[in-house]
Amino acid sequence: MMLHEALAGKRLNQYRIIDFHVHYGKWGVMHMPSHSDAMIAKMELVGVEKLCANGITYPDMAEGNRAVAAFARKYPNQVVGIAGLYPMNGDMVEELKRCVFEYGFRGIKVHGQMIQFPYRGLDVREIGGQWERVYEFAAEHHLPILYHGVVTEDDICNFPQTTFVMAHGMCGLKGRSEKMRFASYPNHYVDTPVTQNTVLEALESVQIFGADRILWGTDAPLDDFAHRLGVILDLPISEEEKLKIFGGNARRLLGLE
Amino acid sequence: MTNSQTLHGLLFIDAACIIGPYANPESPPGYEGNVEGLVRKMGELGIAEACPSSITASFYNVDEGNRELLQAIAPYPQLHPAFLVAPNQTGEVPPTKEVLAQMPAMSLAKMLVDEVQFYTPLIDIELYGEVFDALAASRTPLLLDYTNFFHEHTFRLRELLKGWPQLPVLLKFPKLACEERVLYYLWEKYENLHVVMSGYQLLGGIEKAVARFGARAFVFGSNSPYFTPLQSMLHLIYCELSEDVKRLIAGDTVRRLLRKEVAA
Repeated sequence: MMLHEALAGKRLNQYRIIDFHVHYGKWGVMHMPSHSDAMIAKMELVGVEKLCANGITYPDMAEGNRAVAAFARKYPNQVVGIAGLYPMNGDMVEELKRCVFEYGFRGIKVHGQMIQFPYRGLDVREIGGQWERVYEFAAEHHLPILYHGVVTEDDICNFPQTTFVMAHGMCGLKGRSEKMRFASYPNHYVDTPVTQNTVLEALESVQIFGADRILWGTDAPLDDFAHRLGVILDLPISEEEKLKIFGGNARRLLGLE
Repeated sequence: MTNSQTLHGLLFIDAACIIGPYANPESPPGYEGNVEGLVRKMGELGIAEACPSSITASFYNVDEGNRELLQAIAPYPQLHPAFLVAPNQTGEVPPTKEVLAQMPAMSLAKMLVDEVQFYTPLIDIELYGEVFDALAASRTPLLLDYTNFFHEHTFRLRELLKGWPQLPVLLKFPKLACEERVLYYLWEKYENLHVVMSGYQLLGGIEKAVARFGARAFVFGSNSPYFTPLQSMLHLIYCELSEDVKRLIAGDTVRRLLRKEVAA
């Protein structure tokens, strides 16, 4: 039983855990003792099989993507590259093509709060009108989009062939009615990393979205892998459902089977 | 010893948990809102002891909540109360010395700090001097529970640690942000600061701080029922720390503080 093995501190390799939400690099806002390559030793200690790493911690997204590509080349069995996109760094679809065809990335990350001083406060949607092209490319190449801001409910509705994963969504959608509204879009998923992760929100999300549309992620290096395991492991759901959340769903979306 | 305790081999004591009616419209799974539910969860995960505080004391009436808590935990020797304390200018709560007289020998004092919600909107050193004097004189550890980010309060925290060095302060916050850099300064300067694990979630952060400041930097506390205790338990179980250090963080430091023992 997974819970007992975790309580005994055993490596959980046989459960094929995938962390869908990992940042490569370092943000200045916080002290990050174990970032970048140091994350590999920490993931192995717990028995996480793969990290889906994005480089949005870099002010220059293209530089961040290059760094993630080098990270994935160095650890090909452990790291799945996720493309960071931002309209102020040039044509996003061109960058996406480089990420997919040259670097072998399997997903996209967009973040609405990456606007640097002195432009903070601008709506990232106002800066570039390229988002629709990104969504079409994502649908064509089966790239899930992990979004923190940027994506609107209209986007999710208007691009039903594109897979959208709301970052921190397990607790970012407040109340049953909002969760149920977003769960009504079959192309919409949520992931698990959050800052104020209450047990109530976690169970409610599983009940409304179902275990097939939740992806386990940690936000590492901001959060510890083992700490975030507890959120799902302690839920009163079946072991089979937990395994879908811990890696099965990510494997399906990323085409890793 | 329960099966779960056999698995992890640690005598956890949860220094930060709450019992009472849940403030949200629905209760979390397994949360029964009472002491029996807490004890059941402790047994399930292998938590040896806990120091619950009362939601009633936090949200409704300090004195009444503290008295109800004492009554509720009386049948359970593994539970030690965390009594809400507050300054008594208005007379709504007894002076802290009187509150201390009602508390069992092994108890925590708890102060909730929130800008609007509770009796103690912020730590005012002069105003709360009576509280800190009484706690320090009796060496009763203070669980200082910030319900939000505490970066605007760090200078007051510094004054508290500096002004009452014999008062052990267990610092709890919901989630760490840039304040961590302040914590490094405070750990360096003040031996009486112990950070509750639940809000300190940085990857590799505990190992790094322990390497510099020793095991006393952290104590186990779950922030349940908002978090599951399993989060901080697994965080510690998988930490790259010696078993001796894990034992101290899991419970031995808090046990020593509850017994009013001074560190060797």
